[in-house]
Amino acid sequence: MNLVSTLFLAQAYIRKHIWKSVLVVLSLVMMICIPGGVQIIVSEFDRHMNERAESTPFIIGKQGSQLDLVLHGLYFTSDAPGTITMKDIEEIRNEKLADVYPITNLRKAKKVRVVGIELEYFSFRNLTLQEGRKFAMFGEAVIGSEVAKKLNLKPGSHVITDAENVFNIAAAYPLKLNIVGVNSRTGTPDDSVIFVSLETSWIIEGIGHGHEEVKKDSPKNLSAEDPDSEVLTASAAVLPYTEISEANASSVHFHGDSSNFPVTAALVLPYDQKSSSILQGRFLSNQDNVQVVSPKAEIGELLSVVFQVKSFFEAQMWLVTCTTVLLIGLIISLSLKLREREMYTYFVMGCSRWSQAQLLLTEIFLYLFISAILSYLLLTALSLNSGYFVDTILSSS
Amino acid sequence: MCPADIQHRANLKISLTNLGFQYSRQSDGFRLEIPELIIESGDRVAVIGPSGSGKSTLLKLLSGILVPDSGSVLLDDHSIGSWSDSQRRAFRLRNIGFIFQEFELIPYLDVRGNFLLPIRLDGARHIDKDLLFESQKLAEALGLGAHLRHSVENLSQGEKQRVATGRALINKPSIILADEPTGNLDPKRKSEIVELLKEQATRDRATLVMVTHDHGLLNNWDRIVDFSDFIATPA
Repeated sequence: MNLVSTLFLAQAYIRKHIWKSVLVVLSLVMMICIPGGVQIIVSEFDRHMNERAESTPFIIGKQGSQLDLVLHGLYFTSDAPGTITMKDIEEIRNEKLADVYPITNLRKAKKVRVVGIELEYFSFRNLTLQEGRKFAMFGEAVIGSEVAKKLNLKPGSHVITDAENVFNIAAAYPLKLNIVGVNSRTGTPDDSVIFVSLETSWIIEGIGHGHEEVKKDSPKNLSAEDPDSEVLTASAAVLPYTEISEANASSVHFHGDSSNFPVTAALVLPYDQKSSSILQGRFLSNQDNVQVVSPKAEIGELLSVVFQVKSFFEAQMWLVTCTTVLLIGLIISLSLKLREREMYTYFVMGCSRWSQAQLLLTEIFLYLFISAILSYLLLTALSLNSGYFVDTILSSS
Repeated sequence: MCPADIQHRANLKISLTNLGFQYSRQSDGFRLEIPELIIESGDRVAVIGPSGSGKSTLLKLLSGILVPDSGSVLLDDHSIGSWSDSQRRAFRLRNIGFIFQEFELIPYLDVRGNFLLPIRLDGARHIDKDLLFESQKLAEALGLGAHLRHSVENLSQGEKQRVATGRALINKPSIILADEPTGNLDPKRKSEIVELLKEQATRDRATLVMVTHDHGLLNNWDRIVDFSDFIATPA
């Protein structure tokens, strides 16, 4: 039997038994794609985590879970163990030991993290604008490309921060954030957050605010003290602005000592080895409950756990693969049993043994070929989008 | 004759001499013994006899599916028993058209696919325009012209047997072996199929050997072989 005839008969058989064929192909695709897909995702996760960890020698924050601090400061996922103050940042800066990039990551807007940063963070992470401009005024925000896509936001639109607690009447009001820029896609966690200035983040926290000016001639319900007194005290009826505009921006003010304003973490890039050693030494003996963590070491530990889990998964996949192969073998042998009469007809007609074997092997080859093509396409698609999947997994955790 | 020589051959004379055969696995089976049977090229032979007398076994011996325990099956001067299995298969493929009582059509092929199956199984031949035209002509002769692209599973019993007949004839075989081809058909269809086989055999100058136990189909045969005449005894 020549190749054309063999292929013709094999495809005719497969088409006639399309559902059985689909089942066999799907089993094979799953057998190839599940371990392959896990490998791709874990490799991407490894690359994704390491790349960011390696670019950040140290991270400082409140003492507590080191892993939480790293995930919080680098990947914006976990909550920070607590807050440190701007004083801790200024000390490092004053001693000229390192570049420091403070961040606050306490609130969300439409379930997306709102991260307070200084403008230098953009150049540190090589973040460029896809459209719009960087924030310049209180209440302005620059969003990551994934946020723009997910929330359908663009420069000119706005997003309101999530209410802190509906039952806490003393809590800060939600703030309307005006979107002024969208970052280009980087395939990093920076794509999935809303960036605001540190000051805006403190306004969201209620440390700073703007409100109606209370004067002597203001309506009576706005002042809560003796009209004869020289001291004006605003009553609870004075509403803070929930949107900062050019008109009211000048009324925004902060209460308290700015060195005590909170940051949840700070990325630290020592200038040299000596500075690095000094910094580590300083925080080892720090009495203010501030810790310094090496993200690379922390992520290395995390990944070793991930790879351990992966090796268990791989062992399990081998068992599943063996079972699938046996089941496919069973399907083929049962199929051969059902085809005994057909094979006998071929024999009586004079079909050679080799041609009979060739026909069955071609059918198996076609199953494998179709499965391989489908698996290749699926794995390629997964590989191309693995960054997005890892981002999604990380941001949903 | 070696495998490479086994090509389509016309005018084959079949000679069975002192033939003995018994299915080895059947300890309580029957042993078929045929002292002599000669079928001239182009003969139209009907084989009759009681059930279990070895009629179907004869067809298998003639086609080389089975090899006699003793004696010989000669095709012209060549003993089929001396050929290897692959030589016998190649001979069947190119020289014998087999028709079964149960049709044995390939369910995943349409009518044309079943017609052309012997050509597809023969690696040395390709399906070209001429063959497609020939299959169309044969289908029309068999009354299947409108069904060429139809699945064989949806055909009636009579149509299926005509497809099986077409498959046996497409190769223009020198020997047509039909094993109770009318067993599943109604009386009208029976005569139609038998007449068709005789007609095609005459046209192609092929030898036709048909096994039947239907005595109503025994008119106009060159020869009728009654298996009651041969010895089929308990071994």
